[in-house]
Amino acid sequence: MAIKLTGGEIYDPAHQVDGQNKDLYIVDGKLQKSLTDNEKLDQTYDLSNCIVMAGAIDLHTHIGGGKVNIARTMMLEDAHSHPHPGSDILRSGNGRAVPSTFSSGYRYAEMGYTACFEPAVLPVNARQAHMELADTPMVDKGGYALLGNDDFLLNMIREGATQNAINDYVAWLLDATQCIGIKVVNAGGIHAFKYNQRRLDVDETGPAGSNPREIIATLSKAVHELGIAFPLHVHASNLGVPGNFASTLATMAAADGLPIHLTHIQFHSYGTEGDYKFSSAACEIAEAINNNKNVSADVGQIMFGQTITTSGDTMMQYFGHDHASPKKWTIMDIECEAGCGVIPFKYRDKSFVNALQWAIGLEIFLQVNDPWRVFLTTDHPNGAPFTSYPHLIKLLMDRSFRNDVFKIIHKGAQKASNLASMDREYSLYEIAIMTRAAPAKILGLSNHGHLGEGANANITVYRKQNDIEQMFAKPAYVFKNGTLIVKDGEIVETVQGVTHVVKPEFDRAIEKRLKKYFDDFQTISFNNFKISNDEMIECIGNEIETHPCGKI
Amino acid sequence: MSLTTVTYKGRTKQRLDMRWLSQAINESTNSDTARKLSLQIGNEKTNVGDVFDISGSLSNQTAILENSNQSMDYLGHALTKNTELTVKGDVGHFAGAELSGGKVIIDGSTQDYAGCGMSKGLIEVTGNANDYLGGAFSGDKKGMSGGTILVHGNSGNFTGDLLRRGTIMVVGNIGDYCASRMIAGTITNLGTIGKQVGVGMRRGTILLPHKPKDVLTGFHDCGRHNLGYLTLLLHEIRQFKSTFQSLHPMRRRVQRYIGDTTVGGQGEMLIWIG
Repeated sequence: MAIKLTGGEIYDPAHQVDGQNKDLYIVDGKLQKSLTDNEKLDQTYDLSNCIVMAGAIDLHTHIGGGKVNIARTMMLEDAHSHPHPGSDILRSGNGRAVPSTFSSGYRYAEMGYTACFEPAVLPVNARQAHMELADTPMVDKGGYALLGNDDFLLNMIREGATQNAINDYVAWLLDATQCIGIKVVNAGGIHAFKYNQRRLDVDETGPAGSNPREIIATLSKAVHELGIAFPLHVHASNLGVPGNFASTLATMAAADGLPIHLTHIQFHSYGTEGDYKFSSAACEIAEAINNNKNVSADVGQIMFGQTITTSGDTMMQYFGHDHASPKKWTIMDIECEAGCGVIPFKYRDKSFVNALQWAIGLEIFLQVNDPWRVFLTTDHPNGAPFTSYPHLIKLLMDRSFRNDVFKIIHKGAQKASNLASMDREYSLYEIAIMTRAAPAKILGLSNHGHLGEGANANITVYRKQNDIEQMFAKPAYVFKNGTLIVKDGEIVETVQGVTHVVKPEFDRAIEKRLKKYFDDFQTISFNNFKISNDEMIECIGNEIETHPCGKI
Repeated sequence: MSLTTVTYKGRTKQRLDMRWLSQAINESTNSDTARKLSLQIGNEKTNVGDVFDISGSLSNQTAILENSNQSMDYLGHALTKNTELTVKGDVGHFAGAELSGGKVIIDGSTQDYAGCGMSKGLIEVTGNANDYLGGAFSGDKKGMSGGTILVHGNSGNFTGDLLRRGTIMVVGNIGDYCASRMIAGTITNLGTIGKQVGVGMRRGTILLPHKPKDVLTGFHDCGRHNLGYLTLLLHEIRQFKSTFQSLHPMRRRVQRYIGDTTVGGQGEMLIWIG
């Protein structure tokens, strides 16, 4: 099957293509520069007056795993008030803040996304998470395994295990849980919470005998030495606490120059100035990102309205549980590996704190100079549902629209933020970087996020419109591996994506030690814990695509 | 004004989502358009006209449904001000759910969750109502938040679960867990009541003719009272044509219990004296 896309304005930052007209050829799901003599063109799409980008990639969105399911069960009112009826080709579903699995896949595809990554796969829950992701159609998936609060790692660090042994454990875990990266949530903090500690600073020694700085340094070194493309994904300490920007800067420093990705950094950029003792430290954080080339971040922008916060960070979720709206919440430990906190939340534009959070997120977007190191996320569903991305893109691309919204938020927040003075407007090229090229590059997905020869034909075509939000909300065409899946914002065919994984090499000797640990302490046997490739494909239903490890 | 009659002529045993009817009444849809509305029955898609006869227009926002059965859910769902639906026969779950000003008269019995999440209007049931009368959709933190439910027969368990405001009047008996987790509002009956009355109740009033067999430990006897406001309440209750009109309009002597103190609640359970 050969398809030609002609006449569109191409935005392909990986190949420095900035709005030039170029023809694209799709042959058997891959992109080609031109057709060979024996290939016959089957279909041509005239894309004049259209913008063409690679399929978008969301590198941080909670769409599968235990806590999302808890959120779905808890937010039945969300499910009830947002029904999505099925059709001849679509399965039914529901929900806006936490859509059901099928709905998540459909809504992402309708916005032109072709890959999504679940950032908190608890190793012991990995099977469940992959099962949910298998039920999320249309998009490619992947997960980051959660470490940094599990007894095995903390014991290793306390006992002074060698870096090689830790590397083996990390590699084994990635293999066993079928994940693509490692995430740390409040390093040591979730563990300390179980000992009734309510706060753990970066240089404070927790009950496990180690401090967050050591844990992050050890893990970022492990990820680097194993040659995993995606840097350590860090949810820093003290989320949501006024003055936490100092912890965030300390966390950046903990990586000691090695690559580190700080996630939902908006929640970690708060100062303590002003009448409310809550202020924006976006400037300090953005400056640190600008100055440290090893640091990347996704923003975790908030949007006003009802959502639900789901996090493994039981310590900080407990800190915020009083603000639950509607009033219901869950905090639980998961098998001594990490935790789970689910709290519904309503962000209000007339609340000083919420309004300033909104402004801080945008300030970070606008002050980080390099779009290759800042990613467009709302930390779905924590900041806002992912369906608000088109609105967020409009806020970034349209200064006057941004200032109009800024004028209606809490007056105190307006005074506390310098957002109105920021002139920067993101260009389509920069949006293409932060939603396509950069995530693919940082995740090590060589065939994704670009429109060069040999890339998977994941393509999103937007029809040019004055309203940027409308344009990004309803793409004219979306192709997934060469198949037309969305036309004019409506799904026309359903497909199943693959799961991206990495399988670094490791010394099998670690399994002996792990087996003893499992026999002594775990609720699941060592052999049952591991998810084999066969199980992943045949039982769970996720095709896997393994990406190479090694120095890049 | 001609009466609009909707008659069910189907035979399916599958559940029927009747929200189309409320939508048609609310929007004063003409009968031709209503007949063309799509309807999912089990795994089949059909049109309203295939399973219902509609005589007259729905434009006057009043309708009579005939030949209803217990499979019909969401009858009278979210009807708004000045609308009226009369149902001749039994109905399914969620009858009058999210009602916001209309009037739903059911000449038969209802299944669970009648009047669930309603905020305004009147639901009158001549037969019995089942569980969660005036309750909340599962997961919701608030149940019925206004309006009136009048049941001439009995009601099931969890009557008024998470009730926030409004009045539930049951002429007959009420099942177990009446007023469970009730936030505020009024529940009254004339018959017997089951176990665990007012468990987890915060505020509001339960007005009963007889003391329940087992009063919860969280309820405390506050003695006999002569409450003036009861005459006002009776005035409200007696305006509906029902057996409640036999209560003397000046009756106001009650035994008062307060609870459920196990959750810090200060609701009142009042038992008529004399």
